[in-house]
Amino acid sequence: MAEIPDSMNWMNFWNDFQKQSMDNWQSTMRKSTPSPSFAMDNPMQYWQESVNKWWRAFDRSPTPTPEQAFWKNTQSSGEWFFKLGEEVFRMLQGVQDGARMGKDWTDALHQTLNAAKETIQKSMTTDINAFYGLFGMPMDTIQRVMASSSFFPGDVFKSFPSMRPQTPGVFDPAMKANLEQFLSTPAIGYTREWQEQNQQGMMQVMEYQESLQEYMTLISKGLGQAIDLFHRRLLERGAGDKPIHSLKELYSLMVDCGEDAFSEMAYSQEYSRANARMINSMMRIKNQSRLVMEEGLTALNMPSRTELDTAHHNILELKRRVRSLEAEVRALKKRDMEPEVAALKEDVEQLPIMEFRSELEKLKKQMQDSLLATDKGESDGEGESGEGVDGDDKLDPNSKTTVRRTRTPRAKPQSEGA
Amino acid sequence: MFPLTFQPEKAFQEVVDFQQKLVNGMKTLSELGPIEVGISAKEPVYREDKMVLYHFLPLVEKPSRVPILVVYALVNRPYMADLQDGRSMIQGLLKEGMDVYLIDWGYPDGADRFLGLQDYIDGYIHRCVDIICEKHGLYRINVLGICQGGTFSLCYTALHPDRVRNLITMVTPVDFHTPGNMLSHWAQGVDVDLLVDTLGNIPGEMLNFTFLSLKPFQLTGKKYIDLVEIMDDKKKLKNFMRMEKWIFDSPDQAGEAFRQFIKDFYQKNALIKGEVFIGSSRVDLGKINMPVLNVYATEDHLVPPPASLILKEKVSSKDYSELAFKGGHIGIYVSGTAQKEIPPHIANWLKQRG
Repeated sequence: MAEIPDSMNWMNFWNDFQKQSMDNWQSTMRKSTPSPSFAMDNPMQYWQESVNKWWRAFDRSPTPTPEQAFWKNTQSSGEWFFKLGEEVFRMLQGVQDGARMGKDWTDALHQTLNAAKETIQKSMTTDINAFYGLFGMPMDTIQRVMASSSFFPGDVFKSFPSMRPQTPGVFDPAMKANLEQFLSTPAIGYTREWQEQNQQGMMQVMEYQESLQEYMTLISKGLGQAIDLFHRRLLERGAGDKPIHSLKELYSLMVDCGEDAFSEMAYSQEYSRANARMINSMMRIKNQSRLVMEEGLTALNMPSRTELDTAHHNILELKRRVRSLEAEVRALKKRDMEPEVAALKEDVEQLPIMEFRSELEKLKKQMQDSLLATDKGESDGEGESGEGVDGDDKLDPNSKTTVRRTRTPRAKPQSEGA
Repeated sequence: MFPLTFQPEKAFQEVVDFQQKLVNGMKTLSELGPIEVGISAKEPVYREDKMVLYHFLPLVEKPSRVPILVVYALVNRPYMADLQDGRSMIQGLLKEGMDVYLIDWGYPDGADRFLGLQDYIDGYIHRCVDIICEKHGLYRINVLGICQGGTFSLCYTALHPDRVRNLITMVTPVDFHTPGNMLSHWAQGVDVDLLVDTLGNIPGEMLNFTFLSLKPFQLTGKKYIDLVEIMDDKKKLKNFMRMEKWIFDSPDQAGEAFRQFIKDFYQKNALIKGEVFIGSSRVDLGKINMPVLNVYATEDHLVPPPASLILKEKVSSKDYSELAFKGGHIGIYVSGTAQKEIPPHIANWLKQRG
C-alpha cells in the first residue's frame, strides 16, 4: 500500500473544496441575474426578472411538475403586485412632473389615476391569469379531468383559448351560439350516455365562463370605484390640510378605499347574484366531473364516492339506532322500580291466598257433587230442565268475590187435575 | 395643497427600512419554534366519533358546584377560547373558580358526511350534558355557547329547558337577516343542495376563502404589511402566529349539518320564526325560561350586534341580561381588555344564580 504523505492535510483540502464550490456557485448566480443595463432600463422589473431567472436555473424538469404550476401562479400574483406598485410610482412621478411644468397637480393626479384604472381593469379582463393567480389552480384541475375524459384528443381547451375556464371576457358570441347548437344535439349510438355527459360538461363550462365574466366585470367595476374613492380622499386630504406623511400612510389609505368600495359593491344585489351564479355553475362542473370520474372508476371495478357515501350513510343510521337503543336501556335502568315492586309485593302478601285455595277446593267439590247429582237425577228420571238451577251464574274466574252457585229445588211438575 | 408631503428619497428609505425589518424578521421567524396553543390543562372525559368532551383541571380547590359546558362552533377550532397565557377566556373562568367543560368537535372526514344538526344538538351535546350531570350528580348544568355554538346551545336549551340551569351566549347569531350581515347576503342565492351534493363535506379552505373575502384588502394584504413592524419582537410575533394558525386551522364541515344550517338559518332565517326543526322537534326559543346572559361585540362584522340582541324578544326568561364588549368578533376572546371584563362578569353572574 502506498504511503500517505505527511504534508497532506485532509481538512484543509475539504475547506478549499467548499470555498471553490461556493465561488463557482456565486459566479453562476451572477451570470443568471439580469445585467446592470437591464436594471437601469427596467428598474421595476429587475427584482422580478432576477427571481424568474433564478427559478429557471433550477427548473430543468422536462415534464410539467406541480411545483412549476404553483410557481407560475405565485409568479403571476407577484407580477400583478408589481404592476400595481409601478402604477403608484408612475402616478407620483406624473404628478411631480406636472407640478414642475406648472400644471395643477389635481389634473395630473386625475390623469394618472384614470390611466391606472384603465390598466388594471384591462388586465383583469384580458390577462386574467395575472390576477387569478393561485385561484386558477382548482379550475385547472377540473379542466384536466374534463380533458382526460373528453371525446376530443388532448386538452381541447388549449386548442380553443376562448373556452378555457380561466379566460373569461373573450368569448366569441358567434362561436358560442354554434357550439350551443352542436352541444344540444341529442346523442346517439352505443356511447350516447358518455356523449351526453360530455355535452353537458361543455355546456356547463360555457355557463361557468359567462358567470365568471359577469363576476370579474363586477370586480373590475369595484376596483374602478376604489380608485375613484382613493382619488376623492386624496383631494379631501389635500383640501383639508391633512397631508400624508409616509408610504405606509398612503398604503393604508389605499386599503381603506379598497375595503369601502368593495363593501359597497359586496352588499349589492347584483354582486350577490353574480357570486351565487358563479359558485353554482362551478359546482355543476365539479359535479359533472365527479360523475364522469365515477363512470371510469366503476368500469375499472374501483370503489367510487357514491358507494362510499352509501356505506357511510348506512353506518350512521345504524349508529343512530344503537344510540337510541342505548338511551332507552339507560332510561329503563334508571327508572326507580323498587317502590312499586315493594308495594305490589305487599299487596300480594296481604292477599288471603290460603283462603282462596280452600274456597276453590270447596267449589270444585260442589261442582263435582252437583254433576254427580245431575247424572244420578237423569238416570232416575228427575228433571232435566235447566230450570231448577238457579241462575246460570257462571263462575267468574276473574272475580275476587266468592261466587256461590246455588241450586234451588226443582219444582215438581203439577199433575193434571190436581 | 398636494396631499403627499414625503419626497422620493424618504419613500425609498421607507422601503429600505421595510426590507431590513423583513430580513431581520425572517431570522426571528426561523427561531420561533413550534406554535403551541391551548394553555389550560385538560383531560378528555368522553369521546364519541370525532367529538371529545374535555374537562379543564380546576385552578381552585373548590370549583363551582354547577359546571359550565362550553359549546364552540363547528367552524374553526375551540382553542381560540384558550389561546395563550393571559389571552384565554377559559383560563379566566378557571381563575374565577368555575368548573369548565368544553366540546371539541374534531375534524370531520368523509365518514361524517351525513351528520346532521340533530346528531350534533340532540346527539352529541345532549349526551355530553348527560355525562357531566352523571359525573357531578346533577340534573342540569350551565351552558355557554360561542358563535354558531351559541346558536346550537339555544336550540338545545329550547328542546331541553329542564337540563340547562343558566345559559350564556357569546357573539351568537339569532337573526340571520339583519342589515350588515354580508355572509348572509352572499348565501341567499347559493344552491346549497348542489354545493353539498357535489362536495360532500364543505372544505375548511372554502370557508377560509369566504371569511377572507369579507375584508380582502385588510386580511390578505395590510395584515402582513403590518406584521413586518412586529417581526423583530419574538413575543408579538408568536402571538400573531398563534392567531394565524387558528384562522387557517379550519375543519371541514359535515355536509348535512352545513346544508341544514345554511338553508334553515342563513337563507330562511327560520330560527327567529320558530320554524327550525331538529329531528322532529320544533325549536321554540320561547321555551328558554332560565336566566340568560347575552354577550356581544359592538364592532363584530361577522355577527353584527342586532343579530344577537333580538334574543331578548324571543326568550321567555324573566332574568335576561346583556353584556356589550367594545371590540370585534375575535377580540372578544383574545384582547387584554376582554380578559379583564368578560370572564369575571360571567363568573359573577353565575355565582349570583347558584
